[in-house]
Formats: sequence, structure tokens, C-alpha cells
Amino acid sequence: MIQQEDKELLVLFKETASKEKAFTAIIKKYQEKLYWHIRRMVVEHEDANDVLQNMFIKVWNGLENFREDSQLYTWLYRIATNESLTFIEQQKRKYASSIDEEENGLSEKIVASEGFDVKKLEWKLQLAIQKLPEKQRVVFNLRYYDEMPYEEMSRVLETSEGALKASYHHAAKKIEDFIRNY
Amino acid sequence: MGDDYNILNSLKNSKSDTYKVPNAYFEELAVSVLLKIHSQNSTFTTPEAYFDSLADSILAKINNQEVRNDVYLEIKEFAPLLASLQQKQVYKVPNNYFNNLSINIPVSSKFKVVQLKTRFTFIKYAAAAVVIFVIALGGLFNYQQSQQSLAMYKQVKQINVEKSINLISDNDLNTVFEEEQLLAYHSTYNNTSLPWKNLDNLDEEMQYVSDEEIDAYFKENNISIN
Repeated sequence: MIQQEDKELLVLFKETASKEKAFTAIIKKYQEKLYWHIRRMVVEHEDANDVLQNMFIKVWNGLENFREDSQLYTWLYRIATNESLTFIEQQKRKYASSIDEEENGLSEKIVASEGFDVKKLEWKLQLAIQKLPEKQRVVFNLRYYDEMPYEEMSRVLETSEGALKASYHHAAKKIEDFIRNY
Repeated sequence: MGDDYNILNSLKNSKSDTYKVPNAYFEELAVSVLLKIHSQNSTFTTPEAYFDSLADSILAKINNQEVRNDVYLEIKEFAPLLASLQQKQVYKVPNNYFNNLSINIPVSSKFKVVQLKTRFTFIKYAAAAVVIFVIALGGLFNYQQSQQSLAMYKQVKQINVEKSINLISDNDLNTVFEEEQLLAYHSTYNNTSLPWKNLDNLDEEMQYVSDEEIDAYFKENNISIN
């Protein structure tokens, strides 16, 4: 099945009769990419599902007023990023007394994940990513996993391309050091 | 030459005999071709405007490939270990999660509730009214203050100072001036107590001060008695 163009979907969404159908098509088109983007941030599936649900509810509420001067894809990523960061912030506040200030509690979740093996490089990589400051983590994930061009990242995170390149560079170095010394 | 002609003739005749065509083949050919075209059309369909967007989608894929290469080359430069790692997904997702994913849009989000909008508008106007009330109250207070000042100014302006002074007796005026001078004297010497309360004791206190002490005091403060 050929996926419908975003512009076409947005037109359909604005019509009452085809609104839900268009919305379903948008979910189907972007759900996996957005899910993984969120999952890498919040680690657990249940949390990722909650964030994804909330995120799409916000999309439903805001899509009618979506200005087409930015791409739908970029806008969705921005909402997903903001929702993930808000969720992490809420979790931090909720468990403020039990979680070390330096840690965000996500490393423990990784260790508790199904199939976790500390000897495997891919799991070490996940632990290293969680050690990064939140915004650097977003930058790293978008570039390393989503292979997003800096130009697009700049629109998602509203940050200059230069700053993003520097941030990615630092993040990758830190991760590599962590993996080598872990 | 005569032999060649005979061979050609005999070949012509034999050709028509060798390849046989089904009966009425040519009469039915057009119909069968059209039928095939129609049957092909009903079996294979392309999405609307498929060919219009085909070039774009192929180019997008090529661009993706280029970006992928860029990402790889970039990280290889400063983090070779990370570049060597496969971007393997370690987290697990429940079976059929993506096929069954449905978003539960709250009913309130699906349908616009008029009351909510009305209440919001009411709150907006109420807040605006409060702000206007506070500003108006401040304005009124300032206005009253300025009106009072203006009235006092007018009252003062109407007083004939010279005439009023003439009404005061000379004795009363002298008392006022003396008190003012004493106030000035005591404030100069940091006497915090009110002057008229200590005046009665002054002569009494001076009895215990010697002339030498008074002279020394005058010298210290450069006061001449003449």
C-alpha cells in the first residue's frame, strides 16, 4: 500500500467525514518511528505507550490548527520529544527522594529489561545513552538511530545546526568512552 | 536463371502451405486483443497519481541512503567503536503491538463542548474586569489625592500672609523665634531631648563648671566672647 502524502492527509483531516480515517492513516504512517524515538527516551514499553498515546491525543487536538509552513513529520517529532522529556521530568519529581540526583532512574530500568546482558555492547550502549543529559540524549538518538539530517533536527529541536553537531559529537565521544571503560 | 525462377515460385507456394493460421483468426484478432487489454486493466491497478510521485519517492530513497552514509562516515570519524556497532534494537515490543495500536481520543477532545468555551470566555472577561477595576481604583485614588492637593493649594493661595502676621502679637512672635533658635542650638550639639524641658536646670548646672573649664571650652571651639 502506498502511503498517502502528508498534505493529502491534512486536507482529509480538516473534513469532518474523513477526519478519523485521516488520523488513523497518520498514526499508521508514523507510529513505529515515533514509538522508537519515545521508547529510547523512556526505556519501558508501558511508559512509551503512555507517552505515545498522550502525544497522539495532543496531535488530534492541535492538528486542525497545524500550520503547514513546517512538515508534519517534524511537528510530530517535536511533540514526541517534548512529551518524553515532560514524562521524564514528572518521573524525576515523583521519585525525587529515592533517585540519586545524578541519575534519572532509567539505568535501573535498562538493567531490569528483558534480555539485558551487561557483556553485550548493544546493552552497554543503552546504559551509556542514559548517562547523557536529556537534551544531548535526544540529539544523539535522532542522529544515530533515526539518521535525521541536522537541518531537520534543527527544526525539531529549534536549535542551530552548529550547536547540534557539537552536541552530537560530545555525546558520541562520551558514549564511546563509557563503553570502553565500563 | 530459368531454374532459379522455378525454385522461388515453388518456395512461395510451399511457405503458404507450411504456416497455418486458425480459422477466422484475423477476423477475431482485434476483439481478442481488446479483451486482453480490458482483462489486464481489471487485474492490475496502480494507485492514483502513482507515476506522478514515483520519481519523487525514488529520489527520497536515494537521499535517505545518502544521509545514512553521511551519518555513518561522520560517526566513524570521531567514535569508530559506535560506528562499528549495528544499530540493533535491544528493547522488545509486545507481539502485534503496532497492528493493534489504537489511540483512545477522549470524547471531550472529539467533540467541541460549547460550555467549556463559554466558561473560558467568561473567565477571560472576568480577569479583564478585575484588572480594569484595579487600574480604575488606582486612578480614582490618585485623582482624589490630586484634588485634595489642589484644594489645599487654593486655600493657601487665598491666605494673606502679611495680614495674618499682623494679627499675631509681638510677644507671641518673640516666643516663637526664641524657641526656634533654641531648637537650632540643641540640634547642633546633638541634644536629642527637647530644649524647653532642660532650660530650667541650665543655670543650676553652670554653677558647678569653673571659669577655667569655660575658657578651655571656648578655646577648643574657637568661640570669642566679644
